[in-house]
Amino acid sequence: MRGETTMTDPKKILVVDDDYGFLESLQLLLMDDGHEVIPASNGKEAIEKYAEFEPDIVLLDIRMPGIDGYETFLQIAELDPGARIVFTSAYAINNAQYKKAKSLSLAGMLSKPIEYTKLRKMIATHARARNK
Amino acid sequence: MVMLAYKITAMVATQIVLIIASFLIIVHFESQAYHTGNIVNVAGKSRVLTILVHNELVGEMLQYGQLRDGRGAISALEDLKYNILFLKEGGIISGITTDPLSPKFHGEWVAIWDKFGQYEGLVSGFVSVEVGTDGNASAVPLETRIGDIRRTGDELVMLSDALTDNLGRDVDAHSSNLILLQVMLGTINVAVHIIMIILIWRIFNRHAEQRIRMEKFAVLGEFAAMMAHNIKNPLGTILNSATMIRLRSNDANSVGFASVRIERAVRQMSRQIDGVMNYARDVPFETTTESVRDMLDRSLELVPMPSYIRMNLPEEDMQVTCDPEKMEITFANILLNAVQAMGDDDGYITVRLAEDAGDDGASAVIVFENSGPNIPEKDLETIFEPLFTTKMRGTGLGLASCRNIVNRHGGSITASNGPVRFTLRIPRILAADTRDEGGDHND
Repeated sequence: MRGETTMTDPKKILVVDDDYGFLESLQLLLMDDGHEVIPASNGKEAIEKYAEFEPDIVLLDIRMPGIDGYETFLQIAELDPGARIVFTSAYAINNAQYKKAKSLSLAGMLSKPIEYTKLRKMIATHARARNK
Repeated sequence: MVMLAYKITAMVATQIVLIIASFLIIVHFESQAYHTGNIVNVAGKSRVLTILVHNELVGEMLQYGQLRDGRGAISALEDLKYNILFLKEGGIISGITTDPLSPKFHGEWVAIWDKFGQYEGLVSGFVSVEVGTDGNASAVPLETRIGDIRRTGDELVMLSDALTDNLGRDVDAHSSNLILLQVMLGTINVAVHIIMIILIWRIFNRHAEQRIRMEKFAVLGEFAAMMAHNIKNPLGTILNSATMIRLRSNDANSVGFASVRIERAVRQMSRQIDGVMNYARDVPFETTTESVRDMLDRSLELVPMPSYIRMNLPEEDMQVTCDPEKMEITFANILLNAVQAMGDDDGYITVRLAEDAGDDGASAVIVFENSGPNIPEKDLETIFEPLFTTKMRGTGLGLASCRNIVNRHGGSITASNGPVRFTLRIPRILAADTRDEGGDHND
């Protein structure tokens, strides 16, 4: 348990979620771990902020009003084919869209509530190395 | 659905065949009766023709004082002969069809034919003498000869009448048989129709019951999905926050322990939801190679284990390719079931792990044995059905979820008694076609 607190490589992380409480709590948790966090509360904002901040990894909620997670994923992937995106979902629907995302560049998937250890592992494995 | 269509088509076809068959039978007997009825008319015509012969003869003589050519009588005689022959052979006359005379009336017919022969002899003899073609005048007085003809004619009429009567009676018998037949066929048809209607009604009723059950289940599934989404978001917030508090508390102090308890409670709630969700909705597989012991340990964290239950875990370990989260839910469900079944009695739960090198590749065999009461024999298979529960507060989804998860791994789950055992068989390497394919049929 103590091992969890060792410092990790600081990353620039875009967190997208329409649930404000969840978004804030995840942001604080990641910031405690030394990461730079950019919050976005919908798909449109996420796409704009992605272009602006070029994060190392995106934690993207699937179910959102307006542009949902799948659509946001596709637009970011179009913007930056090398984007590292992880879905976060309260429940995953294994439909055609999920499969399509998986066949493109979807890095992974985290089910809510997200286990801290899995979250760290996911970031460590998939986040892009910081530009020196 | 296809079966249902076949059943109903078969029933309707049966009814149509029955209706056509009944119709044909009635038409056949009707036409027979009609033909037999015509025979009566033909037989009756002999009387008229016999009287006509006589009247032609006498009428001509009365009109002219003598027989001029007797053609009327000879012609009527020819008609009579043809009529008698027609009566026996049957055929079509003036568009009316008549059957041949039934053999049982042949005796009577022969008598008529003989009498006709006698009558024909007398009449043609009389005509040839009176018209003068014979040349020899008869020695017998005219009155006597006409009297002979009349008497023979009367006898012929009597014989014809007798046959007509007998034929009429025969037709009557036929008709009453026909009525009986019609009533019988009608009754059979009505009975079959009623049976068919009842059968079809029952099929539809059963189908409707099934549909209602499925609809209920679909509603339950949707409700579960909505609930899962609505609860898991705040659970995520709680877990994130509790984790943050724990990490910041920095020491194994009471705040740190409180956070650990919160985290554990959140996991329990989340897994409880997953237990329902995994049945109600197939979620994507996230497969890794995982240690069975580790998964067992994590699943035990989800089940509140009373102190009076002794837990025996396997010494050995094994790596399997699976979705660890779902496998943990399965283990936790089985363990929870065992705990609930054992009630407040002292007892044990033993988990054994073995490898089975099967023909289709090696499998991990995980046996959960407990000292609880036996499962009723009749329930051994149905306990894996959705909505089956004997518990007061069970959802009836736990073991159905387990089977769903295990099946999606290409494995199997069975229950047996004496002592109670749940045996899981999971392929150590998940077949390529099962991996990531789960839930294809959904959504």
